[in-house]
Amino acid sequence: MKYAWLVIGVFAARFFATAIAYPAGDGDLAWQRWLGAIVARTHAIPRSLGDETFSASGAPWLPQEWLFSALAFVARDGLAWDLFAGAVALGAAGALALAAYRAERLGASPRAIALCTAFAGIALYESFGVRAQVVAWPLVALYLVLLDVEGPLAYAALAVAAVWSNLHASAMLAPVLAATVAAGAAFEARGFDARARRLTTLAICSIAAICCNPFGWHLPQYAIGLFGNPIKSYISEWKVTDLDDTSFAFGALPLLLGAMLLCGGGRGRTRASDLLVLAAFAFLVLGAARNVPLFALIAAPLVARSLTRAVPLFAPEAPAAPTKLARRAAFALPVASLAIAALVGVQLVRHAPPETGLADAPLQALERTAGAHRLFCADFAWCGLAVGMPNVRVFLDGRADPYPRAVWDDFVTVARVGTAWRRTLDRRGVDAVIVSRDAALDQALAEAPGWHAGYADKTYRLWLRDGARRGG
Amino acid sequence: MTTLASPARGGTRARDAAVVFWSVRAFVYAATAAVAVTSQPAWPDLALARRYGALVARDGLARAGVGWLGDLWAWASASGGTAAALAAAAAAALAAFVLTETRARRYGGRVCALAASCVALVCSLDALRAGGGAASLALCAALALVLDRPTPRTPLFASALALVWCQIAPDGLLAPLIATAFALGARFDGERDPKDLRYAWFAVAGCALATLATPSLGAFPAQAFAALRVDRTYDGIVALHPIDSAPTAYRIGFTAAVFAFLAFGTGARLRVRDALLVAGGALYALANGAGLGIFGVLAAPVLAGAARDALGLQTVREDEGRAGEAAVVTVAMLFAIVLAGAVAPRADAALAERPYALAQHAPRSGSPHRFACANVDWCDYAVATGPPGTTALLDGRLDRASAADIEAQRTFSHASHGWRALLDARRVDAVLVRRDRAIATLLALRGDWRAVAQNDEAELFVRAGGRR
Repeated sequence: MKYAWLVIGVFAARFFATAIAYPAGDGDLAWQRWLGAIVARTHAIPRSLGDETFSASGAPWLPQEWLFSALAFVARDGLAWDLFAGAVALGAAGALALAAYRAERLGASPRAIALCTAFAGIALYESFGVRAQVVAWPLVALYLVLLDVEGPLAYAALAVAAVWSNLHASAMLAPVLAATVAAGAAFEARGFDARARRLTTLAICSIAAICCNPFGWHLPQYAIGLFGNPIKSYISEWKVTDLDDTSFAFGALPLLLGAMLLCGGGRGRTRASDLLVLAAFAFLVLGAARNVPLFALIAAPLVARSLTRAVPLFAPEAPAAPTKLARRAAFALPVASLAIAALVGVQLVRHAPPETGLADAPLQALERTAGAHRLFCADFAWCGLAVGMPNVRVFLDGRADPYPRAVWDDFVTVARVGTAWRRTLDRRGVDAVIVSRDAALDQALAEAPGWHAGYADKTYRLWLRDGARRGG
Repeated sequence: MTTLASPARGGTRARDAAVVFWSVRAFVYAATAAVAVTSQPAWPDLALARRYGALVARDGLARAGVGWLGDLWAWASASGGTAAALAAAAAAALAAFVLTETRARRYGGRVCALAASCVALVCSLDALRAGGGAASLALCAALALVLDRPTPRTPLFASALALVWCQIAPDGLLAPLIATAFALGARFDGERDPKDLRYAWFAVAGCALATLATPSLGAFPAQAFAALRVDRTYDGIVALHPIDSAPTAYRIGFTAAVFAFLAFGTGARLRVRDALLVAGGALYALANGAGLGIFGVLAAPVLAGAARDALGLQTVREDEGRAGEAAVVTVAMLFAIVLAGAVAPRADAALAERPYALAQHAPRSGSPHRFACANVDWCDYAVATGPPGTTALLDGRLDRASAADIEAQRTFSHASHGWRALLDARRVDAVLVRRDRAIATLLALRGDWRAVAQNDEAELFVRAGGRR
């Protein structure tokens, strides 16, 4: 793993920088802190949308990221924030380290591990942020490592699954992973040997483990429901992966091609259990950009191992007695990697967190505008920043999942300036709209009678229905 | 008795297996022909190729004033009428399948070859339209077959195939790249003697020279690269991602190929040639879904060999099957011709229902129109079927478009800032757009454009105050 530490160090530095200096690129953190505040104040987790929205108040909601939200609220500013954001970055770096560790356990050479860890790092790169799904990355990697373990320690995977289910609904993958590995193990052994039995037990117990959260069995039920949820087509993270995604093109795709060329058949000697998991996640990664990091964390160790076996350039170096230098390097490399990463992080702590880069300014203008407002955001993620504003109720925000299909249909009609866009705004009683400047909806509002610009800057414009008072 | 009965039972089993195999094979061939005939023809491309093909035939390249990307196939097949175009597509698809299967058989025996070729067929499903696409697949398969076993005649045959390919479709540009993969394989896979290596590199040179032997001469490589649409220049103008441009092939064919490679790998030993063809084909397919068929053709033999190795099957020589194969192909082709004759009238009738057919509703009085279309291929049809002199902001011949034209199209189709002024400046007086797009709503908001025709999908606007 000696070269891999350098790779991990570079990515860790970048993760720290992103986490601390650019914490909220997608607007989710705003409503998650608001959720955390509610949990802290009421000591209960809301189970339905409230008055913060006017389009779907009372709709059932399962706030799967409740624990992350509570932590984000507790550590909302100052040193606590830096520690929280730094911990998320450390988790992402830890996921890479666990993938590299798994590759080493599988017998991959240091060079192959370093290369595949680099691809995995690139695959994590675009999705990284202070986000609940990022916290799931190290848990996936750790869960897989524990599935490989022989003996009772393997049952620690159940604790991982339980923690995972309190942070993100992707915990649903835990029993699926264990069941897939168990099926592969049974296939390899041509029957239920001790390993297959242990993995089957883990798969069954993992179902119970992912119910160890405030929502119980509703969490896996919710996660399964997401698979067929049509709203995914409107969410960029769920779009089908393509070469425009840097993380896919330069991270997951090389791993996928490597797996296709090297892992299959007899040559790679990849276990059937690993191949089954790989195939399942290959299917997922081709289906949605959201799965790029998970696929990379799963594929990297397996491709590294096959690369070691199939390509002479990556063959393991001849074993030799460790020199003094090698022994020092074994400790120095990880320490140096983390030191570089920490240094970058500490440098960034000195600076005040910047604006989110989202629609903060028009939202502040709306907040200053007298009266209560019903807000439509052309990008629903922007409205996440408005959740909890005292005089603003949103049409649709970054919580996304609980909003009914009818709300989504209306959102698409207006955001894409469909034929019925004005009727829809009227019917929904929207009196404030935030759009990208010069976007189609912006042009349409400029042409439409009954609307005036309440705020504008280089990027955004806030449109108010005539009669709504101008802001300060 | 038992000892005498066993060979007989074995013979019966072998005969049964052969019957099953040939039945499946005949079914697959017939299905290939049927898919090619019944796929919706790429009418806009055909119409444009036919029109400009006729111009070139009449006036010569220079006087016709059009670029040349070798849509000879499309023009020739469309000139013979719908039935001929469909039958030609079926012939090309069958040829592609048979050639792919023949090469795959060398790698993996007949059963694995048939199975792998079926994966290639599914990868090609969205490319089997009457036009250069199906012919490209056949030429690609033929080139790979020729390059597979270098002989003194390989450079000549490969160059000839590349030459034809370049006259038919822009992906003829891939010919030297494919030849290079084989040549690198000959160099690094250590299977061949130095003579083979020489033939392989001569083939590369011949294919490269063939790309310069089109009516476009030295301009072909640049034009063809643009027409391949593999870079990001055309983002937001044309649908390139396989899920949009070849959804069935991507969801089923590509996914099946990925699974098969994960299961079987690439054979007993990783060969540079196989790695380059599979990885290169996959990259091309992901960059532009239209390349999924090429990926299938190149990857199928590797897959067949890998499956045979992984499953431990024996390869059996079967020269005796040639006659049967010819018979099956002939029957499938006859079936395709009959089917094409039956399908053609319905295909022609369905043309009127296509969204781009609205272009014919543009008022015919006055000077010819200048169209802007949200989907550039629709403008192919508008230009091809309009009166002489009809032009477009941008049509499907993206290789001929300047950067300014491409930017103008992007501004228009996304209704970005300044699109109205752009339509004025470019003297556009007819706009053909999808009804559910923002641009349609925005056009209807003001009185300077009026809708003159619409169907379920599209709407045609013309300037309310006449021409500018």
